[in-house]
Amino acid sequence: MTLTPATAPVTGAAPPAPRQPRDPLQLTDRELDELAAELDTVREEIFSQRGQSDARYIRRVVALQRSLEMTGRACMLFSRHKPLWWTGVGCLSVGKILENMEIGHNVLHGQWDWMNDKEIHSTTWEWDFVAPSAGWQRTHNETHHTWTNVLGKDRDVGYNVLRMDPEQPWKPVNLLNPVINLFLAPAFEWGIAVYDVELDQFFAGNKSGRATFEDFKRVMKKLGRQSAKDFVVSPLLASLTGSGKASIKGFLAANVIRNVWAHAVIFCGHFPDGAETFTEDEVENESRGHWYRRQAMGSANIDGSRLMHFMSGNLSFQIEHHLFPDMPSNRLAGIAPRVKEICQKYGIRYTSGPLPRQVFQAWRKVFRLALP
Amino acid sequence: MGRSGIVRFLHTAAGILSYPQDPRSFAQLFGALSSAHYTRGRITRIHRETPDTVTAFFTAGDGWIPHRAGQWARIGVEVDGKRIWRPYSLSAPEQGDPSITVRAQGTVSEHFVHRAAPGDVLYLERPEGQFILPEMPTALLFMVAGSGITPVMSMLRTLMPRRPDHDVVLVYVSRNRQSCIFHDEILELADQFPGLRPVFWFTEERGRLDASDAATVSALCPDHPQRSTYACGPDSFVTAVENLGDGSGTAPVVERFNVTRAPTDGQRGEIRLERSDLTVEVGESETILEAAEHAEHPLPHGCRMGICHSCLIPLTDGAVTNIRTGELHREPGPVQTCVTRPAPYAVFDA
Repeated sequence: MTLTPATAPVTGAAPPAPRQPRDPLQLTDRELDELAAELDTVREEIFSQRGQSDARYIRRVVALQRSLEMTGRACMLFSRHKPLWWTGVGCLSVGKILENMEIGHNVLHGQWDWMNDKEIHSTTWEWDFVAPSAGWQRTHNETHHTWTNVLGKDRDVGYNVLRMDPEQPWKPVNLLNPVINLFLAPAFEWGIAVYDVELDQFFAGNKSGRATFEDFKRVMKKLGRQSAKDFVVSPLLASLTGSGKASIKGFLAANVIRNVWAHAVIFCGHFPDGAETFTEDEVENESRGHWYRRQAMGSANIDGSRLMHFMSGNLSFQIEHHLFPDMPSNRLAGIAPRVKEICQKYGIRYTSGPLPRQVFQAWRKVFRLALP
Repeated sequence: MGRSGIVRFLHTAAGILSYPQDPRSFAQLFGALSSAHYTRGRITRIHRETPDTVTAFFTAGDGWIPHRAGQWARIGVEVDGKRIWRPYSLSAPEQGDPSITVRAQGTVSEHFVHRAAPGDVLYLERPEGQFILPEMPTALLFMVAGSGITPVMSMLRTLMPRRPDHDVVLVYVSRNRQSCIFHDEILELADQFPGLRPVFWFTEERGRLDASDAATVSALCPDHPQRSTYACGPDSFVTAVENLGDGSGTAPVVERFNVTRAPTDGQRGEIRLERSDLTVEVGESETILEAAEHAEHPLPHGCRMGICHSCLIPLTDGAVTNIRTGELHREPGPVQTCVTRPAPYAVFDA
C-alpha cells in the first residue's frame, strides 16, 4: 500500500482502481488501520494548513450574514410595499439559512475553535434557531456524530418520530410517516428543539426528570425570545408604518423557507439509497478504522454548484464532514476527491447524487417504510 | 438616568432584535470597537524606534481603563488566523494615548514589528502590575536592560513633566547606540528636566554590566544605596540588581521579562484544576480527561476521541500536547482534554 503523498494535488492522477470490487465489511483489521492512516494524513495536512485565509473566509461569511439580516429586518419595517416585502423575505431567508448552516452548525462543531476567538467559538456561540446550542451540541455532536447510523444509539435515525430503517420495528403509527414528515419540514426548528429535550430518553428511564425539566425550561425560554423577536417586537415596530401584518407574514415565510431547506438538506445526509445502518453488536470495540468506515458508509453527499454547497453549509459534503466533524467547512470541497479515491480503494461506497434525486430517495424511504 | 444608563437601555432594547447575538456584533459591521466578548482597540500609528523595535499607538474601546505608569496589559493579535496573547508594558505616559513598544522577538512581537499597520484591530485586557511609582517618590534609581526600558519610559514621561527637579538616575544597558530604544528622547528629557541624569552603558563598548557589583554601580551612581531602586529587564539582570547592596536598604522594585517555562512533552505530567483546588499527576499513557477521572474528578466529556468538542475546559497556564497531531498548544483558552496531555504542566480554570 502506498500512502497518498502529503503534497499530492487533490486532482492528481488516481491510483489504479482495484480490479475486484472489495466488500468493505470484509476488510481486515490491518487494512482498516491503513484506511485510518490514509484518512488521518488528509486530516493532519488540512489542519496544519489552517490560517489567515480560512479566518478571513468565515469572518466574511459572518459579515455577509449580518448584513443580510439587518437589511431584511429593515425591509420588514416597510413591508406593506410588495418589493420591500419580497426583498426582506429573501434577505432574511438566506440570512437565517447561512446563520444556521454554514455558520451555526459548523461553529458549534468547533470547526473554528482553532482561531482561539471567543467571537466565533463553540463554547460561546448561540444560534438563531429555537433549539439552544448547548442541548443541540449534546444530541448532535456527541450522540449523532459518535454513534452515526447505529440503530438504537443514533436518535437521528428517524428523530424518534419517523421509521427510517427497515430494521426499526413497524408500529401502526408509522402509517403516518409521510404526514409527519410533511409537517416536520416547515416546522423543522421547533421539531429539533423538542427532539433535543429527549423526552424519549426520559420515558425510557435514561434521563432524570430534573434534567429533562431543565432542558425543557431552556427550550421554552429560547423559544419565547426567538418568537418575541420575529413575531411580536418586529411587527410592532413595523406597525408604525402600517406594515405590521405584512411583516408577520414575512417573518413566517422566512422561517418556513429556512426550515424546509434545512430539512431537505439534512434528510439527504443519511437517508438516500446507499447510506447504511449498523447494529450495536457491529460497533463494539471499534477501532478508528472501523469508525471511519462506518462514517463513510452511513453518509451521503449532494452533488451541485458552489452556491448549493455554500447554502447547505457544506453539509452536501456529508461524508467528509462525518469523517472530520471539526474540519472547517470551507476545506471539505478540496478534500472530497481524495476522500472519494480512498473510499473506492477500500471498496467503500461513496454515495452521492444531485439534490432532487437525493431528496426523492429520502422521501421514497419515508413512504416505503410507512408500511411493514 | 445617566449616560451609562441610556447606553444600557439601548443595548437591552437592541438586544431583543439582535437575539441571540449581542447587538455589538452588528455594530462591528460599521467599524465600531465594541464586542460582546472583548475590549478591542485599533492601531492608530506605528513609529519605528530602532531597526527591530516599533512603538504601536492605539485607541481603546469600551472596557479599557487608563494605565498607571509602569503597568502592562495582555494584548491579543491575530497571527495567521489565530488569536495569540502576550503581555506588553505600556510605554506611553499616563493620560496619553496608550502605546506599547515592541522588539522583534517571538511570534507576536515579530508581527508587531514587521506586519502590523494602522487600522489593525487589537484585543486588550486591562492594565495591571505592581511595578509602579508611589504617590510621592523619593530619589530614584532606574536600572534597566534592553526592552526593560519600556515601563520605565512610561514612568519618566509621566513623572518628569510633573516634577521637573525630581532626582532621577537612569542606568540603561543596551548592546549599542543603534539598538538603544528611546536613546534620543531620553537625552531630550534630560535636557528639558534637570533632575534626570541618564547613564547609557553599551555592552559592545564596555562589556557586560555586573549589576550585582556595588563598586561598578557606585561608579555610575555613587549614592545608589540611598535611592529607591527600580529594575526591569531580563531575569538574570534583575536578579543581579536584587543581589546588589548589603541588604540594609529597601529591596528594589522589579519587573522581569522573558521568564518562560520551556514546554516539553515529558514522560509524565501534572495538571492543576484551579477551581477544584486539585493537582493531578498524569501517567505516561493517560489523557488529561482520563487522569482526572482516575483521580475521581470527572470532567465534562463526550465522544472521547477528539471530534465533538464537549470536553473543552480553559487552559490558563502551561502547555498541552495533542496526542493525535503532536501539536503543542500553549495559548490560554479552551482545550480538548480527551486528546491532550500536559507538556508537562498545565493549569485549568476548572
